Amino acid sequence: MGEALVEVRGLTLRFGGVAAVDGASFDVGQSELLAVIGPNGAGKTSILNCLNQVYRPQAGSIRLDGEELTGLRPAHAAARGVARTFQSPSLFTSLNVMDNLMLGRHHLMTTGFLAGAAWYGRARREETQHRAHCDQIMAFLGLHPYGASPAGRLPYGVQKRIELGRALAMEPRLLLLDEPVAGMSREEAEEMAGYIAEVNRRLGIAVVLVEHDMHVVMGTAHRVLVLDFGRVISVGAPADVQGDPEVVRAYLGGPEWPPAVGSPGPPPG
Amino acid sequence: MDALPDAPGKRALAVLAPLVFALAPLQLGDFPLSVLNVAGIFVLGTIGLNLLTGYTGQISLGHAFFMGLGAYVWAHFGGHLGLPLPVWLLAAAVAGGLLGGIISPFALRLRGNYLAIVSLGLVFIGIHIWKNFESITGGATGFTGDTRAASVGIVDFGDLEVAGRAYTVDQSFFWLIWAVVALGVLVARNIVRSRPGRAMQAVRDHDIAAAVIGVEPARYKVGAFVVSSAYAAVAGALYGSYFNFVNPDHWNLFLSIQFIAMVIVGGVGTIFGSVLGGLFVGSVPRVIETYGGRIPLIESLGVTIPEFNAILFGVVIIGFLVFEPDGLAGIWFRLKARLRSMPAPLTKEI
Repeated sequence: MGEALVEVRGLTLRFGGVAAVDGASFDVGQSELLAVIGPNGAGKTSILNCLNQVYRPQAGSIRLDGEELTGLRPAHAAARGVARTFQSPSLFTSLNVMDNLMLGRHHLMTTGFLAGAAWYGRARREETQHRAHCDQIMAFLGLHPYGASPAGRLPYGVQKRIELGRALAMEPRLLLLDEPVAGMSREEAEEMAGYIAEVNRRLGIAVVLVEHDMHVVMGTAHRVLVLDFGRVISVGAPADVQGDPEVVRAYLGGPEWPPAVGSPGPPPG
Repeated sequence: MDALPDAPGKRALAVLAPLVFALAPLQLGDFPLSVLNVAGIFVLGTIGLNLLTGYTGQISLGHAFFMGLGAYVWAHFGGHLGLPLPVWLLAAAVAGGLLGGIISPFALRLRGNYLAIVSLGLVFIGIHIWKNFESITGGATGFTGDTRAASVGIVDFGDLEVAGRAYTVDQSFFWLIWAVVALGVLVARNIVRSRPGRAMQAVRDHDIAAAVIGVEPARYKVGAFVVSSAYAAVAGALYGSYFNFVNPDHWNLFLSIQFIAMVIVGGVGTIFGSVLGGLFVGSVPRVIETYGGRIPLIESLGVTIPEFNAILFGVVIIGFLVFEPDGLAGIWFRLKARLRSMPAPLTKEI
């Protein structure tokens, strides 16, 4: 357990009387690729939003490398190394690919208004150096052909890739991906899954992947976590989770569908 | 950057602009110069508003207030105390930036039209202050300076004499104003192409995504307000010094709207567009006012020249919003792209 990069304990997020996340506890290991699945409304995106502090959970703790993340502002969580992509691409639509990626490096740079206005010495060197880094990311993700256009005018699949690039530019320790292949063709989805696996394997970045596409989930994840009504109902290797009767019931419905309120699920892990 | 930019168009500009800057006052009469001088002052203010509205997405109707503030900073430190130009110009920038920073928390709580309405309140509060704080502003009758205080060292732009030749105020202020404009363009361009400017645009495009990747939206909204107000105040200070007079009624809602118009007509979110917009909206009405009597069309419409100007102003804004949202800069960039995509003539036999 001491090996874990992220430790989530008793995480609870309520919207009025509805518990979107209900006492969820789990770990994300160093360089682990953890997939989070579950029926619609199970709380998958809410968990990501808690991890980078866009939502403030009412209870529970989230520790990254032993440091508490809850209570930080999103920008500060980002500076600690939590990067995020969204379900629908949330790029800076009027800026080009390079500027979008450079914004990922914002927290690694220091140039302020005065230094930027003077554009001399360190400010210029810093810019050049970080541009070179973003250039490598563009090459890795095959983004060079789209360099000059405003990101908002590019095809959907390319926008998803730019968003992954922007998250990588942040040099994160934890990468949160919200349905990165949603709405993609089979080929595009496979290509994106390849990028995700490579990021995880080659750069050693821990990934929490929320995804409905089971090909991608079963093909890339080290472990799968299943949510239902905000609770963790199963965690384990992809093959084990697939056979878990609780999971089958959550997805397909069973004799007790919907589950009785307060009925205990199997212990996590 | 090298001494000369590599694109041929930019290289031509780099040679032509200083030439025009140096020679225009010697070739043009006082009237066209005065039109260009006022337009230059408007260009500075427009750059400021474009940084706030065009680049950061914060609509403000309070720009006239900050320009007025700068004019009264000149009135006190320049016109009254007679301190040299660099002192009151810097004081205006600092005062504008400081007050912009104090006002900016509104921008953190309000968005879009709500921010526009609240910032409009500034203009009315301002007019009240300008009319009643008589010891500095001269009250409702305005402030007339003892001196323009436009001197830098031995160079006095209010009474310029070089090698035995005297220059008019319009001539010497052309050099002064457009030198400040050039500096203002350079500073604004540097800001928008570096880290703070990118962050401003990120906040405009998607403030939640900006926060999630580590850009603190509040910091850049405040920063944009500070910079924008500083530009407006510098413009106001130059205005006061140029006319050696500050009228409290000048810093009104109409001026704020004119600035919005200059941003729209020039091109939202481009510095180059701010220059075009300031030049266009800042100069065309005065040219029509002076020469409109010679255009037979205006009389046949059955309207006076001020009425014609007001109608034209409205039509131009609506026209740009509907037909050319990218402004004059958008037209220019499109023309350039079209020229570039034209087949080049064959230069060699194949």
